[in-house]
Amino acid sequence: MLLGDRLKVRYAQRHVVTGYLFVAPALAFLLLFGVFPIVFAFGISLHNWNMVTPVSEMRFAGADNYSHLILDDSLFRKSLGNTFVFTAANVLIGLGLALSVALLVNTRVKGRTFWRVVYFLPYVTSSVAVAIVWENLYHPFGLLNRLLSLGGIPSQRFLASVDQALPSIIGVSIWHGMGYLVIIFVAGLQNIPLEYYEAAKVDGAGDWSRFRHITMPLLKPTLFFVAVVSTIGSLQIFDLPFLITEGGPIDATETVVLYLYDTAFTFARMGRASAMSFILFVIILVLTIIQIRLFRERE
Amino acid sequence: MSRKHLTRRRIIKAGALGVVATAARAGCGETQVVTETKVQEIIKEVPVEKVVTQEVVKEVVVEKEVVVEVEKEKVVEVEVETERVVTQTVEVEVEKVVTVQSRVSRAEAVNLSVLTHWGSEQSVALWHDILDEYEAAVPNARIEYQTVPGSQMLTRITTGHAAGNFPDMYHYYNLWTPDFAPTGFMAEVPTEIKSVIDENWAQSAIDGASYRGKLWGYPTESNAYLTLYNKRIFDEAGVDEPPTTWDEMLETAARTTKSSNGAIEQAGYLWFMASTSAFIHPWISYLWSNGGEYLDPGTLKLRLNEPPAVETAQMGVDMIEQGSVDLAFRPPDFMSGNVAMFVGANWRGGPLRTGFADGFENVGVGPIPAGPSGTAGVSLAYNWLWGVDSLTKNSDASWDFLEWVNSPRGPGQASPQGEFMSTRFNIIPSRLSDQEALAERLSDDFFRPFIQAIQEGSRPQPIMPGVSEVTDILHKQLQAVYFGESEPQAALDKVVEDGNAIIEERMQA
Repeated sequence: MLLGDRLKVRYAQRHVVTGYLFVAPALAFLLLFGVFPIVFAFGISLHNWNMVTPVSEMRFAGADNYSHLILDDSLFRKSLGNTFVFTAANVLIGLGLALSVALLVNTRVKGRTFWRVVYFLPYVTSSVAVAIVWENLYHPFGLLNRLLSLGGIPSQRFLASVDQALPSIIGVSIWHGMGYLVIIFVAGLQNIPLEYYEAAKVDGAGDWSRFRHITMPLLKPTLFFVAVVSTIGSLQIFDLPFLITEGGPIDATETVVLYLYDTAFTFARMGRASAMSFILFVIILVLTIIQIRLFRERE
Repeated sequence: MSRKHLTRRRIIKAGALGVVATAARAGCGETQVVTETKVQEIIKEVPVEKVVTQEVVKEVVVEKEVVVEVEKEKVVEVEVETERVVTQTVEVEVEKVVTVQSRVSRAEAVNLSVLTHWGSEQSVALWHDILDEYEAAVPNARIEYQTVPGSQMLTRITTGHAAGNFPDMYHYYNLWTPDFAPTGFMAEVPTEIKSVIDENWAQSAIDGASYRGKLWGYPTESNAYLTLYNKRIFDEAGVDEPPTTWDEMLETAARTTKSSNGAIEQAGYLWFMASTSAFIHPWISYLWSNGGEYLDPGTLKLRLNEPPAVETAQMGVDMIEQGSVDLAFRPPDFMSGNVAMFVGANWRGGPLRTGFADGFENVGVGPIPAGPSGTAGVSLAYNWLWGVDSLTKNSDASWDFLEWVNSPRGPGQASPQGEFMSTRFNIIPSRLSDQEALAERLSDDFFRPFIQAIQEGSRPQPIMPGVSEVTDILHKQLQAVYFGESEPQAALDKVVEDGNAIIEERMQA
């Protein structure tokens, strides 16, 4: 090897080492706070542990926690069902409404910025405040029942009804999260060049045709992002049922993460709770892969 | 052959490495800080509040000459020359200061930390004052005050303990004792402190802070459950007295309910089902008041499907079916004057005092009504307690602090703990001398029945392995009953079956 080549190799090696040194803190952070907890949680899911006894005294349980959850735990199955219903409604209705609002505030309406702020405000409001306000809105003496009574509709129980509690929570969640989705959609809509719409208009395309053949195809990357993020967030729903109904009445609003939280921190069954988290992880992974494939196929 | 030259870069590198190595060692806790150890005796003055003693009082009868002149005869009568000695027992309050040497002969300094769920701005300010007072009295001690919301307290304790990052002392809920005690998580109360607690605390509070015959901390706040009612609503409905039996309660609930277009506008009774403790604690009080039992303390088997328990569940159903209850109502509806009565704990006195729509003087307190199979109302009482982590290296100093904070400041005075709870939360302190010292504050019509219940008629919440899980199952099954999804007997059979399995599993663990 020529002297020049050797120098080049040495220079390149030094740069590699320097590069690793630069990323080392971030890598260490990722390993410590990202990878290690995941591996540790998986280890715990194979044990019975109450967090009070030392880690060294955890009792090995094999796949017992997983088999118990899948075969014997009716509440886990119910919480899965509630979570799927919540996710389906939250994603489909939420995305539909958010897209509609985004299309409206993206037009040249008067006070466009004001309307964007109005829709974004709930998103920056704390979940606790949202929970308190909506608890009162759903109350028998609350605003919603007052409005219903004006229309001659009898008072509804909402959060205290086994049938209405989950839809009520879904309503709050959609209202709370819509601002974020609207902003993302508006950003996506503004990336679509106006020339396409003008050309289509010249060719005689109507509003629906322009939306179907220009807006939707070009909005697909945004739609994909929003769908994936919204699905993952919905499957992990915790705060609103925890704050508003505590999973009741009769488990009507019990979600997987809420049940996981109670199992871990109220009943001190860390092994079972960790197993739940891995089952949820697999579900999210599978659904995300399906979503990716669906969007790719359409492309 | 390579030769190393002493260059400026190498010197800087070596220096830098040295600094890094020192920092790393310090970070790993390897750096040894040499301090001069000064052993100092901490002398504490503990006031003794009351000493019962015997005194002998001698009553000396003075000899008296009575001269009676009867015409010319002079008769001298001399009364009995006895010295009567009367012995009587008198109770004398003696202000006596006993000097006790601290169990700790402390070195340079002791840094302690406490964890509570009192996190509001006012609470933190009051606790900082208390800790400043202690630090002034014990100059070598420094105490850090940590706080988390009550709902996250258990999580903080367990995760902190598991991670080795835990405070020395916790203020915790007695329901967690079955998880803490058998695993050696919390330290048992030292013998000398236990004897002080045995003498000075209400028995129900001691029972509440005990598990399997051992005491696990200083009982602090005591909460009992009694019937809270709105006097204005009772007056309007022509009800003179709070109900003492279930029949009276159902009748009163029916008379005080107001409905319009099929919807309840004023509920005769409130079952608050969303919160586990706010629902289950009153329910267990009713169960006991109907002669029922939650648990067999010997076998640790649940007795929740026996006839008195089924009757208790049925009573709730009857109340709903007669139209006196709207399950969507919450305690704030009592505050706003839309509920006639419910069973609540004494801590509600604080918010009611400031926020009751009809004025606090309209809040009445009555007994827990007795059921048809019971003889008298029984109130459930639950406690929080101060405990010490078993792994702390400052065990003695921690118990010293807890002893100080739970002891009277002086003769006839309340302890800092009792003072804090009564001023901040209107909570009844567990220590009897605190109840006496704060008698004026606690003697109003609201507190008096609760104090009486705590001192005489309450029973501690049953605690056993898996109690949180069993309580959760009971709560959910009773929800199913009250929402008409299940029958009382079937639901309670399910509670017993699942609950006993959990208790057994936890016992084996």
